Amino acid sequence: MRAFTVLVMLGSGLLLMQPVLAQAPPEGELRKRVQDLEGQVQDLRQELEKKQAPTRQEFHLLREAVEALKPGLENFLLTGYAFAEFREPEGDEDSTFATNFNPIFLWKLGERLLFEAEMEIEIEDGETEVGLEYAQILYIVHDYVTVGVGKFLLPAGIFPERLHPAWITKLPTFPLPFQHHGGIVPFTDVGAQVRGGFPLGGVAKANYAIYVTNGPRLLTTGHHAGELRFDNTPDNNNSKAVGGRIGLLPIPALEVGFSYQWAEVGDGTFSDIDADLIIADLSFVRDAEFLGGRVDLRFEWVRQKIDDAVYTVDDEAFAFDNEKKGWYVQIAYRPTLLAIPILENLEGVFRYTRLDWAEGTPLEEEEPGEGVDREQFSIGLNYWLMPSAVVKIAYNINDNLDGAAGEDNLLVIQVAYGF
Amino acid sequence: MKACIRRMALSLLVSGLFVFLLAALERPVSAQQNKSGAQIWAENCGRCHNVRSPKERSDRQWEIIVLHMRTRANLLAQEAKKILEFLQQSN
Repeated sequence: MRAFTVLVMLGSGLLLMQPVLAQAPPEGELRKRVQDLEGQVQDLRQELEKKQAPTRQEFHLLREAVEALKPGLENFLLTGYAFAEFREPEGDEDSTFATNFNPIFLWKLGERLLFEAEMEIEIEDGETEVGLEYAQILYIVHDYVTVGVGKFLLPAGIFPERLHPAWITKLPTFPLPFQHHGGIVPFTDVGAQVRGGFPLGGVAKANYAIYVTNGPRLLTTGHHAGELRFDNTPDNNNSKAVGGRIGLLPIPALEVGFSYQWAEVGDGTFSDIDADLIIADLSFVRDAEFLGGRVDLRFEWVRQKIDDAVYTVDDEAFAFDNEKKGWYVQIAYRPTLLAIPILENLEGVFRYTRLDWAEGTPLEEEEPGEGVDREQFSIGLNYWLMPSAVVKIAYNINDNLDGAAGEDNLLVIQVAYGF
Repeated sequence: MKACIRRMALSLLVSGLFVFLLAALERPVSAQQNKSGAQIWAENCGRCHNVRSPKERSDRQWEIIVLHMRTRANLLAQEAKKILEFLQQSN
């Protein structure tokens, strides 16, 4: 009885659904309708995006314009350079790989205000050394006047300020007067400076920089007595160094400059000892059609003079004419105008450099081969992968002019990149 | 040998001075203010390093770089302005 009732109910349900089932469209038609709807939705979406695009772009431009007016992280730029190199001395000294990383932080605080800093991170004797190359804040007072305060690259010649970064300098080693170890020119100091450029008429212009800094300090004991050290923070004698550079550019390709620094460098019994530094520089950089490329000629001459004094080292008195002189001339050529692949990226470099040391110093007495007149010939070949990326191969021939054995000749292969 | 190379170095210096004299005889093409941004960019930026493509940086980044370079290279105000305009138009 129950089964009969269920059967009747099912049959009735089917009979009642028949009209509905009879009205449903066929499957093919349904599929076509769905496809039509999808196409309409896609068209609507594209039309909406077209209308939104200019609005979005305008919004971004407006936002950038607003953001550009205020200081903050978006006016910050991380740049800098790095290099890795392999050094192969000719003698008994071990060959070695070395690397440096120099990030530069730039923060534009306003239309006239800039903060800049560079760190130097290097591996030396198995240790990672971190140093502050410079950190200064600069304010443009006038079209021709900018004021800076902090630690900065000294306008002592042009090599420290403009040419020393690895992606700029043509050879992997520095000219003898400008070497960090054994050189006679300071690269940086802490103080304040005023600098700028001004027109002279026609295409000629000039630039200047005047500064006051802590200055170098005189070493009065040990084998390096009579030498200057440039890491004088805090100041050893409450007396500051003053100096500056003037540069003249009669034509854009040529610049000649003159730098001078004077400082009281001693303390205690040596407090009346002064030192001065004179540098003359010349740069000529030009694309020469008759040579088919770019010629880059540099010359700098340096003289450091420290007042006479008597230094006692190991119970022995040393008195000597404390004057050191050095110079370098460098010429580089790159056939940029030949438009020949690979060849146009090659650059040949030749440099001669010399450093004449003071005679009769404790260093010369105690460490043979050091504290003497030296010269160096360098020949190099560079391949520029990009304007700021270069592979350098260079060979230095070192000679002591007193006939004693000098530093080993050196092969250096360096890869440098400015970012 | 060393004397020979020293002489060569001195010869290079003399040659450089000769090139300088040739350059000094060159007549200026135009006064500073008539130069294009591209020309000022090539002359000033190329004095120390290879000129880098304007496409390397955005407009904002060039503002910061040019300010940094203006103070480092002691560029004239007008030079810096024209260089920045050129870089921002060319990127």
